[in-house]
Amino acid sequence: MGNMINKEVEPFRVSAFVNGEFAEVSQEDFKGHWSVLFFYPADFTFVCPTELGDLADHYEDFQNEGCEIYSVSEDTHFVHKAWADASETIRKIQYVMLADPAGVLARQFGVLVEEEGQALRGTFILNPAGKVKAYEIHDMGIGRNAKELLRKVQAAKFVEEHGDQVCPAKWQPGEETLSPSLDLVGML
Amino acid sequence: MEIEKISAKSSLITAELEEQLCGVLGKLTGEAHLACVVDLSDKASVEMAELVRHLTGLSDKLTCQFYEPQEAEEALPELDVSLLPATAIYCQRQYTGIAFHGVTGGKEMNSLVLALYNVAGPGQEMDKRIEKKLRKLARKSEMKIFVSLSCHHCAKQVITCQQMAAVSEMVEARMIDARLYPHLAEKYKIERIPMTVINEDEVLLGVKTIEQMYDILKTYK
Repeated sequence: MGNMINKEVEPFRVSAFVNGEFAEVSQEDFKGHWSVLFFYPADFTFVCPTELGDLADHYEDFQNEGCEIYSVSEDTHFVHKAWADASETIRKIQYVMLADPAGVLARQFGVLVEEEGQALRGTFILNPAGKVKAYEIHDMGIGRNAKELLRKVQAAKFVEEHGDQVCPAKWQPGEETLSPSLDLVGML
Repeated sequence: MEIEKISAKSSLITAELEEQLCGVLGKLTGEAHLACVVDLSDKASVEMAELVRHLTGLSDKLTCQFYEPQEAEEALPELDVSLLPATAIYCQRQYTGIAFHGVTGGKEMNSLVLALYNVAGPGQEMDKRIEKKLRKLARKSEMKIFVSLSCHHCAKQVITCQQMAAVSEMVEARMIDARLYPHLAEKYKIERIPMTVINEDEVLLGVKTIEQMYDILKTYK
């Protein structure tokens, strides 16, 4: 799998568990707003509820940024429901939990470990056109941080809105004054 | 302030740059005056004072005068002398609304030179329609453009805002090197530059066109 940046989500349709109900989600649902696709290996594991809970705690912040979250594992939507019934951490999740038992999404995003039927911890930030603008893939045991993910969403949005017309400010007191450079070509 | 205290040779202006500057300043058709408020115990003030003295020495159309902060409070009430070094451009003894807080090193040398070119003449070309609109602005507006000297976008925004100030006496455009004034970087939560603060009310990020800037200024009535 090559570079995923600017790759558009290919057509798909999967079942989902959201706020106690079952639903269907397709690539069209990713359009018109920022999205985070949050792959994790499997329901009923230890690290997963920790980071899914962290994400649930920051869900409002993501929504304030106009960003929807979709967690994805290779379990069915029925297993998602069973997990929510069994775990208080999972029950508080308000974002969409996608079910990808056939590996359609995990394969498309290059995170499926075929022999285990599980997804690596891949996180993909999609713009409102459904294109990947940032992503990271962790090995199974390495957890992620919702705050850092939020910062990345904000940065991706910022760049999309302002293009390359701004520079990050990194003030370093005591820095030498830069030698002047004159570039007035076409300006006089 | 005694001008003799300030070296006429700035280490920031190399022989090559001096040649380029002479080429541009040689085109000036009118005169401009630089008032520079400095605290000579401060390194940045010394750098800016030397740069101004060196620069104005390259053209008989340019003059300069240096002030200590206390002296400037009385002599130049229009200037914010809390942010030193502060350098303002005057034309026919009138403040043009163009000022620089910090050293105009890096990309900001372009801003300073173009500001002089616009004030003294001949000036950069500007669409006649927008020029007319700018001259009709009814309310004074003050723009602070926070920059970093290494940011190539920043100078573009400073040049645009100061070009507007050169045309309209209702517009003030002040370049501020945020690195030198960390309390302002904190106050305005500056994380991206250029950042333009208009009338302490509106904050813009990035480079805008003169038309976009006019559309914002005209809303202040």
